[in-house]
Amino acid sequence: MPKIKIENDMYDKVKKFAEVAGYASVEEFINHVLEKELSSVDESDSEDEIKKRLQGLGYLS
Amino acid sequence: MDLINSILNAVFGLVFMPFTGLQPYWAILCVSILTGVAMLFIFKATSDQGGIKRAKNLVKGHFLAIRLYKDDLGLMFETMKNIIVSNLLYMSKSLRPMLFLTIPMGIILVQLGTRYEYRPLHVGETTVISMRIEDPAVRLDEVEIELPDGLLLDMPPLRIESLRELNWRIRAEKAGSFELGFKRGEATVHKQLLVQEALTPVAAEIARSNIGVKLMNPSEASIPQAAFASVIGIDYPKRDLEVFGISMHWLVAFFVISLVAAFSLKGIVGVEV
Amino acid sequence: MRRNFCLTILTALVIFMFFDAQPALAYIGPGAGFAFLTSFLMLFASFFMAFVTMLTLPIRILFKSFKHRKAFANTKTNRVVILGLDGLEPTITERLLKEGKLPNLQQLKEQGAYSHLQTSYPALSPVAWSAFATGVNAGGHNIFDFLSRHKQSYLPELSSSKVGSSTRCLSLGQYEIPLGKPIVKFLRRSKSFWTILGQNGIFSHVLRVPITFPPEKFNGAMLSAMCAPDLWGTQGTFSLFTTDDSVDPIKEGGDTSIVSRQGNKVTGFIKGPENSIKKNKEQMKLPFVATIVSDDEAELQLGKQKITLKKNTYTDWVELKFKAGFGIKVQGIARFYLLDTKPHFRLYMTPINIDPETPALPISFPFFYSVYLSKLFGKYATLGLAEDTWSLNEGILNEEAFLEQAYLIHEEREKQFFHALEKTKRGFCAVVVDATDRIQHMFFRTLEDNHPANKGKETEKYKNVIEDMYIRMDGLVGRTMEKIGKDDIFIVMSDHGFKSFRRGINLNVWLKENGYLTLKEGVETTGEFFQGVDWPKTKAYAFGLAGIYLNVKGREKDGTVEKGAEYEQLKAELIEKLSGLTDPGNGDVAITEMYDAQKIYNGPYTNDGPDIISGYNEGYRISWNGATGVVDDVIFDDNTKAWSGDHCIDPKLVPGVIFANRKIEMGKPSLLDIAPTVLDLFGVQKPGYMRGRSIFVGDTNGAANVALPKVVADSKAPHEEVVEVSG
Repeated sequence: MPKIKIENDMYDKVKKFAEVAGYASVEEFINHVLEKELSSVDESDSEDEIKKRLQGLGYLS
Repeated sequence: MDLINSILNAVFGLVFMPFTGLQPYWAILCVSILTGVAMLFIFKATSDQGGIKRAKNLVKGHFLAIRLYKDDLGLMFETMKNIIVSNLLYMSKSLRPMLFLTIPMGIILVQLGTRYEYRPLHVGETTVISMRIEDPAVRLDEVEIELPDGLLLDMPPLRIESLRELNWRIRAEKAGSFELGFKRGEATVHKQLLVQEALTPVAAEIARSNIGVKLMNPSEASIPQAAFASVIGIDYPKRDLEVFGISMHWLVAFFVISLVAAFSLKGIVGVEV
Repeated sequence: MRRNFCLTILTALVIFMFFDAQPALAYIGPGAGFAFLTSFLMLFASFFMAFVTMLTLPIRILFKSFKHRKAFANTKTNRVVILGLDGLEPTITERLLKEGKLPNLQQLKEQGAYSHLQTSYPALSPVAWSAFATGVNAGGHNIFDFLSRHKQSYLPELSSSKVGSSTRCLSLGQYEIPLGKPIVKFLRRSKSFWTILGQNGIFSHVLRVPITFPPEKFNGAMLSAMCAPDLWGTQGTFSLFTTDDSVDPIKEGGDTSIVSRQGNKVTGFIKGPENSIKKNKEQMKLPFVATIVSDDEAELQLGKQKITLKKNTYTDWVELKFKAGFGIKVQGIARFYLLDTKPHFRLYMTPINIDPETPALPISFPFFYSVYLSKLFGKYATLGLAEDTWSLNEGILNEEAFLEQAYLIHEEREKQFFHALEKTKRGFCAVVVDATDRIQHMFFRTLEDNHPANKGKETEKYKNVIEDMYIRMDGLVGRTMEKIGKDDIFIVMSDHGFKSFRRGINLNVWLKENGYLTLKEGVETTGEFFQGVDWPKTKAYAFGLAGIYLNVKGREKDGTVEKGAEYEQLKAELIEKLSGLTDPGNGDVAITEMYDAQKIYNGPYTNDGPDIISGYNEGYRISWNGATGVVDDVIFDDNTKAWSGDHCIDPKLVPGVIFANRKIEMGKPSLLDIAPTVLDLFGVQKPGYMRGRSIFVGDTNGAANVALPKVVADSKAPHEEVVEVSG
């Protein structure tokens, strides 16, 4: 798993914010921020593939 | 016993026939592989395959427990106990097929042994022939050896009264299958002596009543019950077996080859061992 | 005599034991005495391994004792054992307690406590058990439903995990060899309390707790559950092999294979997963021949395996090996159930479960834990929702066959649980039982004479199925109690209750009819998953089992609603209009309350979930069409499927239960309180983001709670209605 370096003062800020916001860890916070940033370029799988994955889930027909 | 032996001799004679003239390792290679496969079938037919698989899985499972609970000494000891118990269970599952395997395996081992444990003399070699006489009525100096043409007595006979044993040292002058005669008055007993290069069954000992000797030397008939001698032995040289350029004892070769054969074929035969 | 072969053979054996270990390990050699060789070797190897392990033990203990100096230092208990009975309904439990039919739960209640347990919003297992695991609500753990929506395509995704193939591949002619493991992402956020326990040196066994696929790495052993896929990559697809070519293909959750019969031989093939190393990704196949022996029996030949099929009887798990090429095999397991041999040959096969002995995907932690359990107890179901509900819905299996399947799986689970319990000398042990949930889903209709799903189905015969199941679970509780020591805490709990599902609501149709959702021109009925919805003209859409999303600009791809005032106004409008919605079919209230997500959730993921959570009334649920995003003209319809009970309604109406062998001090315990409770019992400080508190007397974590801003709006409000604006 690749590791990324950030400045110490940034880390302190991030850590504080992560705690206040209710994240369980700094990594979780940073991941979430990046996911949100990248969500617009996140491609969806094909509909067939999606249907297949959900197939058999009792709650859905 | 002699009857059974002669039947088995005939059967194994047939098995070894194609290898006459070939290097000795060819025969042991083939017999070992065949044995491996045959044993797989016997094992499959006579064992509780499902039970063996379950028992083996238990052992393997407890094995994984060592890794899983590596930080807990208590669980470790518990695991050791489980491994022993499941191993015993596994072993008990092998008892039945083992019983079935004992007889054919013994026969094969004896038949191989008679060919590979010793080799016949080569021309120019000497050997010691020994005879044990248990009957106290027989005096050792009453017995004389009769050597056929091609064998020479190397030294005068040695009599060891304390062991009731007679020793003759003999030199082979030419190749052949010789019949040694031992005379005491009118009575004569015989023992075969082989001088040749080719692979052949060799009886290093024959006996009158010793079952062990009879079992282990099937290629020659026993000493008749009425005869004066108890056991006659020939100190044949040990056979050096080379398989793929490696010198080894025939038992090692047999086990390794049959093991590898059976191990690699067990999937094809579909047997759980 | 010196020429004794026997001795030589024996010596050779001994020599072999030490020098020829490898081939002998898997093979009891050819002959007498050799049968024991492998045992000796195994014994030798295991002692050797244990010896090495023990040699390094002092170092490890030293290291661990330094790292976890305080493990168990402040513990108030030896073990905490949680038996989760998914979906155990308080009203049924209480009735049976009263009737004296649940003696063990009664004893637990008298010895300690019994209470309702506030469930999650919405009251769905993935959401609820995630709250259990993390001690935070969906705003903190990011599981709002079974499904989450893709913001760009509006298509559904499984909310808890994502399986993708390795990104780097080696191209070789028709093959494409992946150069890495498949990527399996866990999407539940925050941190489970067993991870925190592990960090504090406390070992846990976590068996089949939902939303544990893929498994987390932690100091403990875990077996995955919901939503681990089957070998096809689906949530469970069964197969029907039939010679009847006039049969309608199965609509949902199953696959029909027409097989051919000549004389008494039936030939066909079992479909496997896609061949991921082939560029065309063709489905792998496993040919079979079934020989019909008599009207009630056939023999199935699968490669070398011969399996006896008896009519109306499950086979054991059968290994199915699919060959991908280059010696790569993908292995699954399935049970077969012979339905008929005449007039048509009909054979049912369960979904192909991932083989726990050679798992194609990670289904346990450590990875060999699933192997370990399989070696000890035999193969077992690994699929997340393992009980095949669709086969009963589709009428392929009858009620008896479904029940038998559910209980077969349950028995596997029980064995694993008791084993884990035995291995937990100290620490935490949890198991979640699914049979309770699945059996209630499929038999709830039998509790009501007028349930629409009873039409055309046998009802009287199965009236006691649910009660019998409760009694059976009480037996499990009793057997567990026998193993619980005086210093152990034992909790029996359910994540939500259960109610009847008589009528379905399709909120998207209501949204369309009220002008919030628009279909493309010329479209009267959409396909599944909103095919035909005119997104740039849509303001809101219902998605998943309980959520309504507003089509927000900058968030959704074709968003139309401005953040801020327009968003708030629209949300308030929808909540007002839908709360108290009545069913014109019978005049009943269909929706008791709609919940503003901003008010019920707190935590960093609140904005990623639905904007409104639906609180359906008892007897209602989202309709089958509604759940799959079909927009037609029907708002309300009868539910006629065997799946006749559900819990995805107003969470206030479906609390779970909690029994404990110790007094519960708290008035309204909630799922969110379990994590803080367990942490507290082991003397571990609860993290600041957890809002709950220990339910037992003498909570040391409780003090920390006082400082937290916690405003409960009113006494009727759900426990999670804790208002705090997240960052």
